[in-house]
Amino acid sequence: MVEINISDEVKKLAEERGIPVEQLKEVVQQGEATGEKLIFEDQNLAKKQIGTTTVYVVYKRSGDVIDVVTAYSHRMEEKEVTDPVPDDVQPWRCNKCNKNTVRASMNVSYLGITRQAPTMVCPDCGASYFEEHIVTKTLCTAMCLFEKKRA
Amino acid sequence: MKYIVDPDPKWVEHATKRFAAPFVDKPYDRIDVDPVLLSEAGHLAGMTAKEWYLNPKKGIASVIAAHEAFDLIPVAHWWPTIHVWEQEMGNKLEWRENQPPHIKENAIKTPEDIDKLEVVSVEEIKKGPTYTSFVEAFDYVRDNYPNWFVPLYFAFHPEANASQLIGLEKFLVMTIRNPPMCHKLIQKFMETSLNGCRALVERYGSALIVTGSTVAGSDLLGPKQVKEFGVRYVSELVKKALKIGAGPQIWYHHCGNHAKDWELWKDTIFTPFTVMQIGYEGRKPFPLEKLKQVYGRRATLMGNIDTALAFSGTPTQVYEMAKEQILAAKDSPNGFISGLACECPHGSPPSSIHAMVRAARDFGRYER
Repeated sequence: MVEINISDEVKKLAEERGIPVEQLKEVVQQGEATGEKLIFEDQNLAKKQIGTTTVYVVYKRSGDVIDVVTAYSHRMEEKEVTDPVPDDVQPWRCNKCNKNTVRASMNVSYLGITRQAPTMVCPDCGASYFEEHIVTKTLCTAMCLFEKKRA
Repeated sequence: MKYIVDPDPKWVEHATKRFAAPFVDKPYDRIDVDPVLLSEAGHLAGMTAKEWYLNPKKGIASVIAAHEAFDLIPVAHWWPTIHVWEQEMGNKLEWRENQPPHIKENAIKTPEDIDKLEVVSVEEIKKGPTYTSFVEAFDYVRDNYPNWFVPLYFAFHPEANASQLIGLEKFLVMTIRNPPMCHKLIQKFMETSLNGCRALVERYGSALIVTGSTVAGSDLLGPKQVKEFGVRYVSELVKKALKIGAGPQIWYHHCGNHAKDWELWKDTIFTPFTVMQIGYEGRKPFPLEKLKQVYGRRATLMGNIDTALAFSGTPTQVYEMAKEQILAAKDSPNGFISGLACECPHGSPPSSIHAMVRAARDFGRYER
């Protein structure tokens, strides 16, 4: 039985970002059960769409103990990935394909508006993940601007 | 002190909705117009170019007044020079009455000097002329015209600004004879510029990223070199600027001739609020039909009416070129803004700007 630890600091961060603690566990469990995750050094990055939100969790695993490092989420619909740049190799590696991801663009939709955002994609299986700052800064600001400008 | 009459709030509200249209797929009355008025806005307000660049508050106020007067985008862009962050690294500038500032003395003389160049820290940047000028302009707008407040991280063009530290000719020779030193120079400029980004984001919370290319174009470098010295650094700069907290608005301004490298820039970074502008194909404005095919779903396109025409052409010529471009690009998937290929030259007749707006009114309704 794997134990998932979530520190008070991470709980506070998740709360500030509107992510229920149960969802953090859900994302980690999916990443571990399916192996669909990225790996960088001793960190894992898993994601899961829960309702209209995609939740990302970074965590470390040591034996049967998992420590959550950070979590972030967005409400844009993640669509197709385009324009992989093979030269721009990213440090995160696809766990299933054992290949480093490369920079690419992902089409994201919100309020019926579809635009691009920079993402990391596995060149073999096409699995793609957003980095934390892209979600918490770029996408979150973009969502606010879409809401404001669409009003 | 307010230098201009407060813009009409009703006009600002209307212009704001129009400006938002291409970014949120919500058509409004017509496409917008941005003739990239910089010191030309000062000219219209009776200022010399030198006064415009050296007086941030008056300069940016003149842009606001001109944009309202001509019914343009409700965004006031101002920068102290295109040689941003260079003085902090040792370049000496000279101002002339009716031209943008230019380099009087390069920071370094030989490739060997590059090793001695230091990346300027955030603390030192905050004391330098680029940051302090930006702060003077942006604080003034924030405090007096808050609806117009859009702080810019004017990067500007990593390879072009780096080339100015040693001189363009020496830089071009280095791209062939000593590429590693060329990379080192660009890297040092870029990191200094990014420290400028850090200082601005720290103060304002965010900033619109303005970047692109000049030297990395088809007049001076081949496509392989454009990729090596241009695309790579613009991508890295934007990636880092986003991480710092700038964006998501990006304005890519690819200045000059990009006939052979224009498609390479699709490997740079696109966010939900990106504007793409490519100046010329050879000596002619870059064809917007082509631009639309490659970049129309990646960004909002910006037009590129020949700046020479705005300066010395007739209003009819400007109108016809604006019409042609609007008809070619108004149906671009992520929208279109009519604009000049580069900064509106100081001393251009106001009739050129009027002709652009008139063409937008006559032909600029979005068809979706």
